[in-house]
Amino acid sequence: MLQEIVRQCQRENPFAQRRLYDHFANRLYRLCRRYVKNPLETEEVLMNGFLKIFRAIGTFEYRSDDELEVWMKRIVVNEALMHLRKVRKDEWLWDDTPQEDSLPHHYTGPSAEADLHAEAIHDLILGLPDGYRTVFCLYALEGYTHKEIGTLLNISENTSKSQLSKARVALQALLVKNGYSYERK
Amino acid sequence: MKGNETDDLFRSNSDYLADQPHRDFNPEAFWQQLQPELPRQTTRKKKGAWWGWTTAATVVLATWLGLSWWMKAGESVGEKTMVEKVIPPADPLRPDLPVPAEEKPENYHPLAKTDLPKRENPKKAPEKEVPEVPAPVLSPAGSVAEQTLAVVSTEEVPIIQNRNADSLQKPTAQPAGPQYRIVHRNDLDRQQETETRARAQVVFRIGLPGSGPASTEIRNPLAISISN
Repeated sequence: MLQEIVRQCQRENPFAQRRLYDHFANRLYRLCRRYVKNPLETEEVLMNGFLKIFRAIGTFEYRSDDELEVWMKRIVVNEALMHLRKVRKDEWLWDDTPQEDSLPHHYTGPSAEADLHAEAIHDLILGLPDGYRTVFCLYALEGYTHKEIGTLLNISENTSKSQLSKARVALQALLVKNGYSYERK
Repeated sequence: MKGNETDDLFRSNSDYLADQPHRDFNPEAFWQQLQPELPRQTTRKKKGAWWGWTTAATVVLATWLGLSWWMKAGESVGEKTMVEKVIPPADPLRPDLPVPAEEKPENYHPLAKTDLPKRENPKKAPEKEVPEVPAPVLSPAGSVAEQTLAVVSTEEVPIIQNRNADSLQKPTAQPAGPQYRIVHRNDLDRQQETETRARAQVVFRIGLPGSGPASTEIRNPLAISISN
């Protein structure tokens, strides 16, 4: 099905463009949101990402649905990283100190453990500093290697590994703080 | 909790939420903003259609103009076929002047088709039938001009008083080649009317035709007007 949609999108068929958008809109929005915390900025990044997708889809050679999704995610991730670079001006990545006020406080009580759901866990990522969050999302959620992350962010592989390690520690602390324990799993 | 377990937890959570709408995201409103920016097939089609229609209109206009020009040209050729030798009216008042042999009605004939200039493009220009030349004008007998001549020739004294003397002395200058003229019935009627009015002034000639000078030597006739 996606193959035919892609083929029609390559012919700039508006109906196919709408179907492709419907298929990936929520997924790509959540992807953007993991990198860009501000909702308005997230939409701006997603808009630019979709425009690049529809303009570049003529050169895309379809092989499988997964490959299409990876291709689209890469475009949106690159757009998000460009946005972060522009906004933070290269100072954003290496701020290692987690900001206490940026951490989510939705589920602070002991009873919150039972109510912790997927959205809350997703929101925990937003409590990380930008540098931690970016490296963690690229490595753990998108599947990039440290070498690729180093190339994308213009850092060394060791820096990427260090950032990832610190991100994991911070997330575990946030999970514990929000009532999520290792024993529960 | 180990690092990999943390990664698995957030990855599985992310996959679970992947297709669920986010609370801050309205896909329909976002699409309304995105849609005008997308490259559209219809825009290119409109442009193509505009050019296509313009080209088609130009071709149709050019064809129509060409056809109308061709039709007009064909009509003018057809009119030429109707042109005939007009009998140069021998001076109705001087029937004794000889009519050139080539201008005698017996020698008149309508223009044949083969005499007409041929068009260069026979495919697009189907041969138009040459309309028949009206019989009264073409036929030697029965033409209005000839009838007029006949009437005039029966007059006893075909001399007009007011006529210029030089024109009487000298024969009417005949054109070297045959003349072609379209004669309308009304013109002939008008001419006949004029001649009838001229005949109202009757003149007498004194003297016998044979007693005068030689026929080659034309003298001014003595004309006496009788007016009512």
